[in-house]
Amino acid sequence: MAQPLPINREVERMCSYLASLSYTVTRDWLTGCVEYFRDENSHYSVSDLQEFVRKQWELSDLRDSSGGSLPPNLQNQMKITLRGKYAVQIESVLNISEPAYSQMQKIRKVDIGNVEVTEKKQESWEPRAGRMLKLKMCDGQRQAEAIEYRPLRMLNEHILPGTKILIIGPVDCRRGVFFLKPENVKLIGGEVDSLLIVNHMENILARALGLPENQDPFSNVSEA
Amino acid sequence: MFLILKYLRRSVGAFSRFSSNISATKMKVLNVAEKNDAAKTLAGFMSSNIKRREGFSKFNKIYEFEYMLFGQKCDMIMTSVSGHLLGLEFVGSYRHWRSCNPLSLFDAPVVKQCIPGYEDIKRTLEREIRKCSVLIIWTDCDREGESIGFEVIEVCKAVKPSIKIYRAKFSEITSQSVKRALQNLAQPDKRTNDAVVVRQELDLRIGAAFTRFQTLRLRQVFPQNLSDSLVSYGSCQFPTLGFVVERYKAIESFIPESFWKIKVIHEKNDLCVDFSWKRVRLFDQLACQCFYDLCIENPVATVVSVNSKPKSRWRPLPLDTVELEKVGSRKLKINAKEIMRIAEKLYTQGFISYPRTETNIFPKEINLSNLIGMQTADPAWGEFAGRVLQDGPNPRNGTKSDKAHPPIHPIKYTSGLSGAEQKVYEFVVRRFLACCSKDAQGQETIVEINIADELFVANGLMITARNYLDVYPYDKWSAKEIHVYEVGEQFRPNIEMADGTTSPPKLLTEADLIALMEKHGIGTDATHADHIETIKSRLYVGLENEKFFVPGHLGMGLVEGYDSMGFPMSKPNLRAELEADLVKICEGRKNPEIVLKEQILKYKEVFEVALQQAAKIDEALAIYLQEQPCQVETSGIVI
Ligand SMILES: [Mg+2]
Repeated sequence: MAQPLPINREVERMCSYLASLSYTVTRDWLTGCVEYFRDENSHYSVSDLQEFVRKQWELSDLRDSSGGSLPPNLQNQMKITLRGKYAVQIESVLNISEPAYSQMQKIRKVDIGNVEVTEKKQESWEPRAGRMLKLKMCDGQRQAEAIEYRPLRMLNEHILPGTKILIIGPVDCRRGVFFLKPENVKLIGGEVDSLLIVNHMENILARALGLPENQDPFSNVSEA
Repeated sequence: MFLILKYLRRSVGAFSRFSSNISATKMKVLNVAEKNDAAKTLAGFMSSNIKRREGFSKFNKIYEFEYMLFGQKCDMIMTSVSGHLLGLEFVGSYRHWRSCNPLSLFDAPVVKQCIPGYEDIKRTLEREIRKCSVLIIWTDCDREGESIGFEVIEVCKAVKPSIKIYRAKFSEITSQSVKRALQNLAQPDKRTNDAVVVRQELDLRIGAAFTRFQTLRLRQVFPQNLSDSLVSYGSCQFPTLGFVVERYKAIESFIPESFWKIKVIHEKNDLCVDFSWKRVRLFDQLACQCFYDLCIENPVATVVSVNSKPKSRWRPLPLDTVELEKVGSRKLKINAKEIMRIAEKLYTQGFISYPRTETNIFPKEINLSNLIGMQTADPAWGEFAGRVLQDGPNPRNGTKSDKAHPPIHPIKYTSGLSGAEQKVYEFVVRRFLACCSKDAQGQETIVEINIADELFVANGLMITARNYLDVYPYDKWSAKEIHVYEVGEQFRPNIEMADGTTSPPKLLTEADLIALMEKHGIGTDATHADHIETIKSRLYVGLENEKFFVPGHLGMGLVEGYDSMGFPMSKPNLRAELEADLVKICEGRKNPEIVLKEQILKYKEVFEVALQQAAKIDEALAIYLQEQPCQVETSGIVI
């Protein structure tokens, strides 16, 4: 069995591993992560450690783990086309093509059958709104928003707050809002524990509507 | 109409039995209709030589004439009742409101007795039946009519057990249908009567128990507001009230939201064409602003597709009762109760067919051309009727049939009506002619354009043949002009960002309320209008702008009180189950006694809990009445 690498070298190695995946990371966080792993495992393979730091990064809050990836001052630019890769976490999602009120009625299982009976029917030519998700994103340093410019099948309203995605350019960003097409998004996964309840879609809707929040929103969803 | 073939066989049997039994003396036949008007009109179709004399009741005359029946000349005596003749009541000791704990009303013995005020009618029947050997029932051919017939039979049989009984089946009052009914006399339908009797007993017990409990208790709890009020309860009334409260609350709890959208207008040669954004609207101003920027940077529209295709607007279905009530209240501005009263009058006068029907399919046997032909004389719609005749009547048919009555249609032409009667008659005629004519035809053009990869769509409509619309002003179909576009064509439209706010659902109209009652099976097409009237007269609901139903304080408080007990009193489920069971009784698929037992048990359980938790009603009402509740005995009953 080879001697373990000095800690600096090991952190270096993991840093370039994560960089190869376009995940940005702070040296402090990564050092802590590697130290923890080495304390727990006296013998390990490189791929074990890689697997560990990758998973830890996915489950981390990028505010703790990442130095940021997005360019500054996006909000102040009418339009810019970005060509890099940007690892961000989805803080929350919301469908902005439908009233929050009717989305909330569905979640809280309000029977609206009797209202529908008396509603005016739409003409067949009239367009029906498809879903448009709006994502609030954070790269660890900066906030940005993104909309579902073209349908993004890999995402949905129930995606866990803190899920990591990789935004892949070229992608248009207007007034700080990314216009996402399917080829711009790679779903990584993960979550951020502290955001799970507070940014659950039900609670995002509740705050938008000024209604009481649900401290146990996940049991509600699983019933549905 | 429908029943002719079905009953033919039985009536032949009846006929032969008669001819062998009856001696040479002239047979006397007592005929009883549901109302005096009907008796008079029916008699008029059987003979032109009628002698009228008085009965004990001055509202129900007796008409006498000769008629060839059972192969011989008979003396016909035609008289009438005034709707239900007998009613259920608790036996004496339970009648007084303070005589018993209302809980005992679920089991207290009941008796059938003459409805107060109708004793004279009963006496007439008892006198007349003595000289007759045959009784023919001419009450309306619906559930209640069948049951009224059984009440007449009960009264007559008590005097003369040997009487022969027949049922005349008809759904319009014309000379042919009267003749046909007499040629095809049938037997009264016991199952239908069973269903009505079950319904009556339940309504009595449930209604009396809850009404006494609510009224006596709440008068004491809220002496300032309710000391003289009747706080009634009915198992149809409450769910009907429930719909009104539910909608009111849906509006109260509604939260409006702002939205933004992109409007594209193409103006050319004084014509503006509005294109709608395929994304409709966004509930996020910033996102919409970005889309607006995107469009403005490259504001040239390119036509992506132009689709032009024939579009028809369907002529209406044959008219059934619920449609008459709904369209009547919406278009004629006559409430459902009133429209049914008028329709019944038009029926008894022989102008239209029976107005209580669930059928929206015309039977094959009906001679539509004849009926349309009669209408050609009218200055307003006569010419249209002539056109329908030329093309041949082609009724659009629905899918519902109650197997008893045809759809509502005119059976005689008249120009002698006025006021609301004229309006209703005209509607029935126009609806009938519309249904028998042709769909309106048009050409719809749908144009899709692309601006900076955002899609927008507009439509235009050209009406090519108005057809039924010419006779049916109750439907609107408007043409909409659009420019001529070609695929690939480019133009520079006006692009704007507009905003708006979501709005709550609307308060219920009477037509909406009937639609909800129908959806949930509350009441029948024959009773919707009555239940609505009841909740109005109890002030449980009121009308806003003479059109929209709003719950009153009492109605809101009662519904909330019961809801807080966790009971579906204001929900339609309990009553809907009963209505479904009644249909099963009529079809012979369920035993009436079992239905009765089950339903009494269900409501009794609910009632017991209501007694225990009566304070919840007080709490809810106190808020609406703004009166401090007085402490009273749990049940509120001082015996
Ligand atoms: Mg009737």
